[in-house]
Amino acid sequence: MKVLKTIKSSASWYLAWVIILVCLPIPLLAQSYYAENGTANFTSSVPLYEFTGTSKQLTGLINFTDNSVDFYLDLETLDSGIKKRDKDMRLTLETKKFPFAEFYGSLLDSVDLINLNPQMIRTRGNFSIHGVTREIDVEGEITVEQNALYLRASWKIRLEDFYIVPPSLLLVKVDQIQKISIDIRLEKQ
Amino acid sequence: MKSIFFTLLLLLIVESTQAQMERKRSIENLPNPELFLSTSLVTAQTVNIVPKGEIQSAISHSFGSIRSGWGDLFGLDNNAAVHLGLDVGIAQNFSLGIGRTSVDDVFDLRFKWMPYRQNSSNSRPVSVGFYLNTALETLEERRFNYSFTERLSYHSSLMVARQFGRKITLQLSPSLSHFNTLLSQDNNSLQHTVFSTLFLGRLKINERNSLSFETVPILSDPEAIHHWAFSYEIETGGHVFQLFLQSGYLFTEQYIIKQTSDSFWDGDIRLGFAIHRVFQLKKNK
Repeated sequence: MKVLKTIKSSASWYLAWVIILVCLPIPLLAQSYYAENGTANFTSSVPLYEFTGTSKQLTGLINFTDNSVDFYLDLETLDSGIKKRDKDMRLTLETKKFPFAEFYGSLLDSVDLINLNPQMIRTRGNFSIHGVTREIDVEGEITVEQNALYLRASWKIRLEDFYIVPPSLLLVKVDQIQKISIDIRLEKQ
Repeated sequence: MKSIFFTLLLLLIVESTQAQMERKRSIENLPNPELFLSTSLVTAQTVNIVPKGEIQSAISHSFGSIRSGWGDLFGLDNNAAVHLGLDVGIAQNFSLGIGRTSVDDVFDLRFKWMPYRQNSSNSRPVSVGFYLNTALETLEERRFNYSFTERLSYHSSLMVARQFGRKITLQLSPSLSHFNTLLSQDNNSLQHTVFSTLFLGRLKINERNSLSFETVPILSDPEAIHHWAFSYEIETGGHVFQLFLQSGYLFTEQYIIKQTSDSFWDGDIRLGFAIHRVFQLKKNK
């Protein structure tokens, strides 16, 4: 009876050690890439005219341990080149209430970290802006560099899907379709 | 043993849920308050300045006196006065502009310097700047043969403004105006140099709409009539629209100070409008 109990106890400890060994390497082995100086462009158009709000403060993280992709941008950093238009953009997006545009999702394709040629990747996740979240698919191009990843991606949203009322310029409404593109070099963590 | 197992399991769960980054603001400080919607109200310059790398065009239009009644559709049919202006932000705190008023064919060259601006932390409680313009009257005068210098007039202002709370802005602009030439019909001595103080105010209705006024409460010339104007302003995507009522139809500071001949409070009121539009000089890279 006494011997059996010893064996049970040892089995539990072995199980605990297995879990420890499985858990602990997660942060140690995690291969993630991070940057906080990426470029994001929000392009809007009215008939015969197009303008772009640009920010160079896009923050991004790609984590190959769980295949997650996480990007966010403080919308108050968008600069369209005209201060009055920046103000209009902030009012339209209600940045005081909803300061971030963010995408959090997963890689649908695996990235070959040895291949130095540009690779097309697909991601699926939740894109949030103006306090509204929608699931979207985004395609991009990733290039593996030494200790870094260079990522470019673009997609389009319909403003009304995010309850954004487009402003009008001289009674001409801004187009419902907004183009978003990102361009970021993520350093290995 | 069970507790160790569950602790480790919890660690695993926490590990996986922590994958999303904590969101951090890139801009911590509030933007500086916008004291006025545009660089000028009806005529008087505000402490707003055209930002560096931007160019602003402005068209101001004033109709005839509403006294004319239905016959002239309350002034809409006659006596239109137009001012066209173009201002460029050539440095962070410095702008240069040109303009032309249709009445007396007056061209004006102006510059504005805004070295000190009210900020949101209140370490700078007021905005202070300097404004100068030189106007050239080019209307042909058959009675006199004016030289170039005789056609010139000048105006300079020290502008001090503050936003009180989030809604009200007031501005005082002690000014000095000078006309090289004045005409008199009764041989009275004329004051070529006039000291005055322009007084401007804005009530912010919301982020895109304002009510504002401008007047000249202090005037060293006893003969001059005090100018008054009230404006309703709408801002949208790089444009500012103004609908206004004013006593005169002149669009240069020294002219409204020295040569306003209609009294607002006696009913000599004109309807007018202005459109300010900002353009980008250089595209973002």
